[in-house]
Amino acid sequence: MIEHVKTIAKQLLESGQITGFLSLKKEHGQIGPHLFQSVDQLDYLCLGDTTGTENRESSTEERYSGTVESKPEIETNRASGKQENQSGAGKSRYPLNKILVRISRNYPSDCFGILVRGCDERGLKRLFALNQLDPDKVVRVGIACPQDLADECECLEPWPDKWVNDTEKTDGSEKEKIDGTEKSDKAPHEPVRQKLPCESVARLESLEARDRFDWWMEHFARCIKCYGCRDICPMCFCKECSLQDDNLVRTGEIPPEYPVFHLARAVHMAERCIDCGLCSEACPAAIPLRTLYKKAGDIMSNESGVRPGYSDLTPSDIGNLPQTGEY
Amino acid sequence: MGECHYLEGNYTAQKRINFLKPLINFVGIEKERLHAKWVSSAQASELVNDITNFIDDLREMGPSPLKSKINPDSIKTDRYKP
Amino acid sequence: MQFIHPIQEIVRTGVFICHCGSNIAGIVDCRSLTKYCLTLPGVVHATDNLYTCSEAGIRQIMEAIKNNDLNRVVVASCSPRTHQPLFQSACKEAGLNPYLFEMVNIREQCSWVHAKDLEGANKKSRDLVRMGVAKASFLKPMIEIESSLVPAALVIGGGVAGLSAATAMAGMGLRVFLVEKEPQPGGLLNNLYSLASEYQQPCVHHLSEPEYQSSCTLQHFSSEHQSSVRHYIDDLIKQTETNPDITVYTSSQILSVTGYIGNFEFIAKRDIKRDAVQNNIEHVAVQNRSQDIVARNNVIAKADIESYLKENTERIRQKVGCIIVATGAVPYQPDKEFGYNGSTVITQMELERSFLDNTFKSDRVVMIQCVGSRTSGREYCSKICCMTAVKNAMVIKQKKPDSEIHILYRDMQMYGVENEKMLWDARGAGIRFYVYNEKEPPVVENGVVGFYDPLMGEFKQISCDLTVLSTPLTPSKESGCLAKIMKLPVDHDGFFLEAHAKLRPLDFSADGIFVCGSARYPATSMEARAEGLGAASRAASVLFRERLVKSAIVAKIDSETCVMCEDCLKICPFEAITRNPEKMVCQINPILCKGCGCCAAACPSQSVTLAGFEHQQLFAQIRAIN
Repeated sequence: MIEHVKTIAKQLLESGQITGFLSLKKEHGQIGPHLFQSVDQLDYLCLGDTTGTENRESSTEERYSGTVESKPEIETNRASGKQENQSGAGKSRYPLNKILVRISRNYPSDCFGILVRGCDERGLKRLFALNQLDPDKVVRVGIACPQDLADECECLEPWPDKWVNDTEKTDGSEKEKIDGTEKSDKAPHEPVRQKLPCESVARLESLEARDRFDWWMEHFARCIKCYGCRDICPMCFCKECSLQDDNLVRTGEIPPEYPVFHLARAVHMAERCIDCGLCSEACPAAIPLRTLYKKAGDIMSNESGVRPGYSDLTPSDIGNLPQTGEY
Repeated sequence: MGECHYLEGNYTAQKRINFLKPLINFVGIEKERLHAKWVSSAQASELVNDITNFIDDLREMGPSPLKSKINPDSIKTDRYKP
Repeated sequence: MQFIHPIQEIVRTGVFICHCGSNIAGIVDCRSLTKYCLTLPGVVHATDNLYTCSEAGIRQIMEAIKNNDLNRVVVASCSPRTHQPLFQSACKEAGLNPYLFEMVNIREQCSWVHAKDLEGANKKSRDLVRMGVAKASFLKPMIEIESSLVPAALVIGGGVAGLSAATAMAGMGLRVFLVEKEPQPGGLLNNLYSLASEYQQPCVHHLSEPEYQSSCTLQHFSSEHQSSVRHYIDDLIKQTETNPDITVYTSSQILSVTGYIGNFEFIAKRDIKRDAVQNNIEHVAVQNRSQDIVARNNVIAKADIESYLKENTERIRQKVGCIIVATGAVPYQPDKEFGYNGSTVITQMELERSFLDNTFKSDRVVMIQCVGSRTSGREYCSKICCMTAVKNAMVIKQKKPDSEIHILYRDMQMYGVENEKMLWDARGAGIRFYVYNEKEPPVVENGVVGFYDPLMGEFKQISCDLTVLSTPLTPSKESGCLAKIMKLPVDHDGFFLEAHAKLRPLDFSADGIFVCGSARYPATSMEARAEGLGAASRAASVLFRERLVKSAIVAKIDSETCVMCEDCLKICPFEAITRNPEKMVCQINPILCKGCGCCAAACPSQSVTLAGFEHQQLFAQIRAIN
């Protein structure tokens, strides 16, 4: 899979269609986001796996046959737990969208390629709708998530609209390669979609109100107000954050004022959260923020029939969109 | 509804309430603690009844969980470590 | 409790507690409340008086501002709805910016609702005053927004309402542009034979007995009245067309309207060819030609239409300060309901036409009311068809005193003294009225109308040579288009919706746009004229000002922090927000903004602030509760 992505990126760069390809880079065993601007750098491109890019032929099948059964573990949302040999999409993720927003604000006339997973693509669609990115200036190269990551995320759609997979031959026409394969093609290792309601949400809902309150209070009490959730969030693109308004959230308090701090963020996330879960991964206090925002998304879809990022939305049909202000 | 001085203002408010109710319920604050009703200036008795009922409901529910002090010692920091 | 004061100035707040006679003082201990106020941060002066709104009370405020060098004023009394402007003007007179004033309602919110709970009322009044003082600390001086205006008006629709409005405004010396979609102004009145008012007698009370006797006969309806409606509308059209201040654009349609109160700009297109063609046949030919064009190949047709339009249309672009919407309504055309066929079963409009053409020949007439109205799909009562039916029955009676006329109704809508009188006169003249059931509507077949009479509990059959259906006035398609172009609200029936049925019946909620006549709801010509005159005076009350002054309470977007996510734009009910893609920000037009605050609540980065209700002020107020 990674070779396909590299080929596509190479073609895009060489043709001059994109100025840079925003993806992950692996150097000295460490993974980080990188904007590939020349073809020779592409050797370092990686898809989020923590091990080498070798042995990919053998590893792919093994992983997809072996891990489908793995059970979701709600309270261990951390991605770095497992060390697996894999050459497909790994579990290391970065808010590439957020970086892209930053880049394109500075270079508004340039077109960039970006590596997208399901969540990234949902984010892109929302960012398009919210005028933060120009759809004409972004070329998506999709990859699907491994099943175990999808399970951990309780992801409803761990793949983008179009994604690269191994079944496709590298010598296909250029366009096909860029577009990847339609998900309706039933690719051999399409990850399994999670059912609603998510187990983490459902489990909490089965509790008594007071227990639920205590459960959340225990979590929120650990908050050190590091703003990590906001800083990693690909949908937090405001230049100034309400959470830092001295009048809204009292200063000098740890844990921050409840419920203002956490619920204000949940409300702001209502229309935006595309359920990538990076907030939960980033949180040093391991607060299961994702569960809270998942619920916010559930309410949104109940109320308006739209789940942020799940339907194809462009600025032109923005009128049909539910609005943060309204929710 | 709809007869708002600011045109759609009360619809907007209603949507917000519809969103907030299940959300606060999810974090363990009873959704009955949030109550919104639209009454016109001609519906005085309705307003009085509604507020009286709401206060009665609140009394029945007792103090809000937000009023209870959280004991820092009770926080189990180890359980949720990754 | 902690208050943060603005660094640049030391807040010196004066608090005035009003007894409101015994209204407040009877429950709330105003003395101790005053003492309590002095303990609040920033308060340097507090006093209570019997009536703060009295002349003495106002003088006290003004003196206190000067003597104590106050820079904030808080009055705790009644509803800001009634007295805030008074107190604000007192501040202004004393040299204090009126937006540095805050009002607390301790009458309605404390002494009245908690009259049975003294302690609670006192506690709450302390809380409210504390909140008011907290908010006042953060108030900022503001300047009212001024804008220029164009002393001209646009009237859309040249029916009786529009013509009345146009002539009235021109009579006041205003420049008026009248846009009419037909080649000839006059509206529905052009098709009418007579008006109900011609058949209405003066009220009985004003007449002596002999006069009343004579007025009850139909004799005094001379043949002159036949042309009186024509005369009436021609007179109105003539007044309009000869007035140099009125420009009439016939065969014209509004294409776009932009701007805001005082500074609207409209673009209309005028079909010159159609306008020139007065002859009906030629008119049809023109229509056929345009249809031919449409029928041809799409691509060619488009170009053809464009060139056709280029040749035959003219673009009108004008600036106006106010707009009056008088687009009227159209009669509902039945589709075979009650056996409608256009010859023996016709509508009231067609009946009037036959009067005009002198082709009316029938002796036995049945009229059926509520055809196509007050049923599912069109639930409203058109309100004028009952009097139209009675009026037309009277016309027939007058033409042929021996004719038999039956009116089948569900409810007679004959409101007002004159109409009620006309109904009684009609009964006196031998016109028969029968009630029918909505569930068992009359059946018209071969000149026989069969129906169930619920009063007698039996089926009746009336043979007749003409059946007349009373159909309602319905909103026209063009009104719907106009509503979209101008973003005006319509009700669920499709009529334009006024700002408030009782308080602002001729205004739209958008400033500077007014509505009159049947565009709002089916109206008689008299009502349409009255509304037209009313709308004209509403518009004039705006247009005769030198400058428009608007409350400073409007929202503002901080362009430094705005990221153009458009949440505010989507939620604004007044379309006051636009995007500026160059700067990647949204912008608020302060003239259009009404200060509702939806955008300020919606903005996730608090880039939007509503002046007078800034986040800092509101949060200070909320924090002061505890």
